[in-house]
Amino acid sequence: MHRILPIYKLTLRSIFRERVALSMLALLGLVLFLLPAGLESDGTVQGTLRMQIRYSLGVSSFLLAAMTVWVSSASIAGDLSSKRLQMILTKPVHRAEIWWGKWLAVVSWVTCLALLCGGVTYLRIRSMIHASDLDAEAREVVFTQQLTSRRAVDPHQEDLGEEAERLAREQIQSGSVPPGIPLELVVKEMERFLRVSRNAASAGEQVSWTFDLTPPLQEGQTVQLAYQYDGSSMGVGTVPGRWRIGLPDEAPRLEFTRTETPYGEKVIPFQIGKDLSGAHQLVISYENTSESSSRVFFKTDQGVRLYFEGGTFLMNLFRGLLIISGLLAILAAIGVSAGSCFSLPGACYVSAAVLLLQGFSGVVEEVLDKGIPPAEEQQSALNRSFQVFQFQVYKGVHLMIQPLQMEAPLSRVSRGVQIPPAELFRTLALHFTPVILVISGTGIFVFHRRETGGAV
Amino acid sequence: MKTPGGKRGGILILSGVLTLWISGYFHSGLIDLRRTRHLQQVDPDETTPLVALTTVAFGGFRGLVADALWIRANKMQEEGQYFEMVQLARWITQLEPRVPEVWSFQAWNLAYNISVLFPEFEDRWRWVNHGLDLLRKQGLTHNPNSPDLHWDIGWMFQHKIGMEFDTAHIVYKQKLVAQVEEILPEGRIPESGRTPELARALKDRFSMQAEDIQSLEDRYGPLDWRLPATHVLYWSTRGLTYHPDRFDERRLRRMRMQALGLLMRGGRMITLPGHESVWIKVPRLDLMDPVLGEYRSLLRDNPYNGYLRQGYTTFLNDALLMSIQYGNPNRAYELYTELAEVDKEIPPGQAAFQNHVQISLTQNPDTLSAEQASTRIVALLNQSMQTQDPIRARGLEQMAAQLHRIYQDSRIGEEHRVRTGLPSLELLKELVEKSRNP
Repeated sequence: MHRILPIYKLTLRSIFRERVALSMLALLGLVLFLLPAGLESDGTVQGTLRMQIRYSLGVSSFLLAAMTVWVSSASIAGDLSSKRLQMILTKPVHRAEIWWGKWLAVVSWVTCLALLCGGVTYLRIRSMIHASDLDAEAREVVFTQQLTSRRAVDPHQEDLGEEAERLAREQIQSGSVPPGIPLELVVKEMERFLRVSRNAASAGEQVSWTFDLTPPLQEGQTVQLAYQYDGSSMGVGTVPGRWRIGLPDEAPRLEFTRTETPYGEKVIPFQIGKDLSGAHQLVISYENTSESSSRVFFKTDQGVRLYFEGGTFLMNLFRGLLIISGLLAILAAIGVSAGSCFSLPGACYVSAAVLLLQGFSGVVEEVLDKGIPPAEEQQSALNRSFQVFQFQVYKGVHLMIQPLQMEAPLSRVSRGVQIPPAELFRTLALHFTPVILVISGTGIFVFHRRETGGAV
Repeated sequence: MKTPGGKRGGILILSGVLTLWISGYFHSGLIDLRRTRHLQQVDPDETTPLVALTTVAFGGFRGLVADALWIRANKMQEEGQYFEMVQLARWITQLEPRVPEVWSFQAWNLAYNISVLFPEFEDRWRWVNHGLDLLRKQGLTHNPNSPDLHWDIGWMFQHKIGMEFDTAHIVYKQKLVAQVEEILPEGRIPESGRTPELARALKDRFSMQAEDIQSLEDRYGPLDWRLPATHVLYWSTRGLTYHPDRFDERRLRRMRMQALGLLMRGGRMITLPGHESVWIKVPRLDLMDPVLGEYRSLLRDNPYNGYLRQGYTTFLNDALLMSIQYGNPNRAYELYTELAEVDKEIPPGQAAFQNHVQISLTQNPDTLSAEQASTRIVALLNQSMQTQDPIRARGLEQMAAQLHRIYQDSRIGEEHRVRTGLPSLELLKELVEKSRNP
């Protein structure tokens, strides 16, 4: 460690000398202070707050990522080409210590900046709330649904795999599925169909969800029932419905009647009374009381959720920023490792490509979700092999970026959804750290074998 | 002591400053040249910094960035997260500022698709206003000569605000009244004339030019700017000045004639203090002749235009009924004769005229629109207050009451009643009284 520290200090000092890093820092300052003034939301305080969090911090995170790519790639590749590193290599320092020193400096630098951006944004939204002329009701909504940290509990998800497979086989046997479509894909579609059906209610029908609760409910506790659904009828109309909340196999204890336009998230806050206190399970049902034929479809993913109070917004923002810093740490590891084996432009390209892949992870998932397209009659063997190869490449890419996949932390923070400390720990320790260790191992190995004498 | 390097640096800085000064010196001249020679569609001073920046900074990647923003906007809308939509619409349009279709789509999306998803009428208005502002304050800045955008703005006033399809239309109309009254008391251009302050306020708030307003008022007399139809007239007339193609010209002209028809049927708004959501519209029969003149002249130039001919016959029919209801049967008969000449299916002659009026005025109230029902009731109440004969007055009032009752009873359900219902008969009477003694 005592040899890592001087490298760390030297790297930090060289970051301050980097013109590109300094210009990015200036850009970051501009984004933090000027971008919010130019943002135009839907005119509500809630909308403005979400824009401030998502855009100010989102753009700042993007700039920080770009800065990480440059600074980390330059930390070794740049030092090699300027011959600064050769001076260090003459000293009794192990190359692994150089790698770690450089990485630590980059990570601590971008983490500090991320936290600084978070702090500035937090202060700005506090002053915005202070200056706004919100009435008591709107203030309550802001502080209980947005500038807060709500612990989310999703309903128990039934395993539909077996039923989906049975249905898929039936469909294939009955000839409803065109030949050439793999069973795996039909099963996936059937599972999706079943899940949508289980989360839909036609006029007069009821749909219910069971929530497992740990810790159990407490008397006086305020819970929010949040839901999102779409309507089947053409045009925009309201759908009347009745929500019932109770214990399994018992008569409902709470009932709420709502007539609403589908679309968007809706929230029903309710208080836990004596009768529900201590419950480990809660059953929530929705009855579509419409007289017309309109059907409603709850989103299969996070369509119905319960939110419990889960700490302060500031701490949640802090946790969100730590996850972002974790992602930047991986990027820094890639940059430093790429700088260990390539020249500066090459290292930058490699790190930027990884960043781009992460940004387009949704596309990769979509391709994998669709599966390999069925073989066409006139298709040549070469063309088919290429298709299969392409799919395998996507699979490989997906495997590589899988540890980085998660619900966007800023989106959660801006919606007041808690990032639990346990999840933060799990993400940093079990997802990110192994990735960093693998990348560092590879980077140090390559760096160790690299001939540095003639590096330019 | 100065070093040779320091001396060179000083010279370089000095030449930099000098070059900047020369460039600045010629800049305003070049801008003027671009303006006078019409080298750019938009006045260079009017271009927003964001457009100037994105055009230069993104270069060929502008399209890619716009695509990404379109994808994000769709995703946000599907997820019901509307708070970003205004910003995204603004960025998308600024990236493709010279494509009127992009402005039209984004404004329509805000004003039509998103607005109706909100149960609160105030929220809906905010979105309708966002859509309108996107077109008039930004879209027109970058596409000042686009007849399409003028039509779009007119259509929002005519359909979204002026008609009764949206449950919140009463609130939209109220909000428009409030917006206009902030600048124009009673919705009129003050008799003292237009001042530079007023012209600026009209431009800032409604993107309307005081000269165009004046030219309309010179032609049609004082207009009530609280009415959506007046705004439709303004935007369609202005759109026609930008040499539209055949299609745009036809639809802008149709819009303009429809606006004039609406203003003839109800071109003056009467309100009651303390009843913001209640008003009546009093006809402006003086508009009848100028509008008929315009129709005749247009038909002379386009004798085979079916839409125009249809609009003309509708207007003639409305005009003759208004003339009858406002005590001018001779004028009504003249108009009927003209109608029979244009529409060969309508028989000429006094007996046929009587029959036509009888059938039209006793039409089942269930089938009337709120606007038509209100016009009829107002006309009956007006006649009842005008006549010296107490028995006839009572009879006319009873007819108005009966029409009001049948119309109101035929509203099916709460939503229909809120959307198309009429104020109480007592309030209508009060308003008619006020219209007679302004």
